[in-house]
Amino acid sequence: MEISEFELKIQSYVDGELAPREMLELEEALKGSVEGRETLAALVMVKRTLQENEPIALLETPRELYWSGIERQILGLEKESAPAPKVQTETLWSQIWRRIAPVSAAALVIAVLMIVFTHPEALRDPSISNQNLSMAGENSSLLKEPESYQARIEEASETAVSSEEFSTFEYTASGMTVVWLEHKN
Amino acid sequence: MRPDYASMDDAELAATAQGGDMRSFEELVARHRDKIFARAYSMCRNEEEAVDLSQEAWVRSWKKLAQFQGDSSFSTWMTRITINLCLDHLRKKKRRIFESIEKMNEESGGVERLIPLVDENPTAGLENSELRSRIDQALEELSEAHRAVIVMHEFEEMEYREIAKKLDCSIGTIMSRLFYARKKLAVLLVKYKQEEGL
Repeated sequence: MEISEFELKIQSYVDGELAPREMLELEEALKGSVEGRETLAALVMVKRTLQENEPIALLETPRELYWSGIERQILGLEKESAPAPKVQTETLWSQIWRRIAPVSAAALVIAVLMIVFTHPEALRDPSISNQNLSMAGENSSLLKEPESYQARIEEASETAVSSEEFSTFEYTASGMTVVWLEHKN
Repeated sequence: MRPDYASMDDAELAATAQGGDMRSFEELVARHRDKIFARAYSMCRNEEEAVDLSQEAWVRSWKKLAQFQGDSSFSTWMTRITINLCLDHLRKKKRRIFESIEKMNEESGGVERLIPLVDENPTAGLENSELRSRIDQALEELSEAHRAVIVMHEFEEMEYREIAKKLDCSIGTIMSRLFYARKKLAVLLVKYKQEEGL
């Protein structure tokens, strides 16, 4: 079915969408058209009936339940849109350190163990140390001043660090520090 | 001290809600939830969907609250959001809301070619509740495309141009749809009257 331009004009007239001049022209045209007047009457009837009697659907969901659904979504959205916590970026130095630290620690432990097991008496008996040192030559300052060296040895401190199987000692003398491990058994 | 939300008007509540006060927004929801639900229902004709859509419309309005400048009433602004959401929903469901004029012509049927004579108003003598029930029944029988135009034009009093913009089609198409929808409603209301007289 084609809708005529005349019918659409009648509808525009009912909806107040015509310019004043067009309204006058249409009113003149309707005077001579029974069908046009019937269309006008039907459109007016429907428009008024709808506008004055809009069916209102009732919301049966309880107020609290309805609101809680909305609130939950809003809070969810706000949580999503909250700025993400700053991720600490690792510096180049810390990256390198993180990789070499275990290796360095292992190398240090091995070095200490090698010293302990290859020359344990040298570390513990100053007289042996003196013998070894005497081989270093007659000009050694330590040999030239044995008493002074011995005194410093005596002043050296030994500090035990607790451990179940090993005792760890720190030996300080002549401005140097030696650390060794001693098995308790 | 807690504000007396019940004594505040919509504009005041909206302004407070714009500042992040969710209790103000809750009061707005309480005031307008029935209308918003009813509008969603008039568009989609499904109660469950209408509840979901109306709640979603409130969430959307919370997000857009900063855009509310008070040019229109809060109720009108909120209803527009609801209509947009319902149209999006209908588009997504591909319920043929934008079917062609030719398709709608077929729906109209040959026997309904002429607008019925309304010598006697088919709604005369009916109580409001009964009349509303008949209108509701008639709206149910419209296609979604026709019903959407009727809701926007007759209930929301939107102009042709505004509806065309929302539906992304020409003003001529809107006028045609509106004419068909009104014609069908007129036919249905007369038919209900005649069935009552039998």
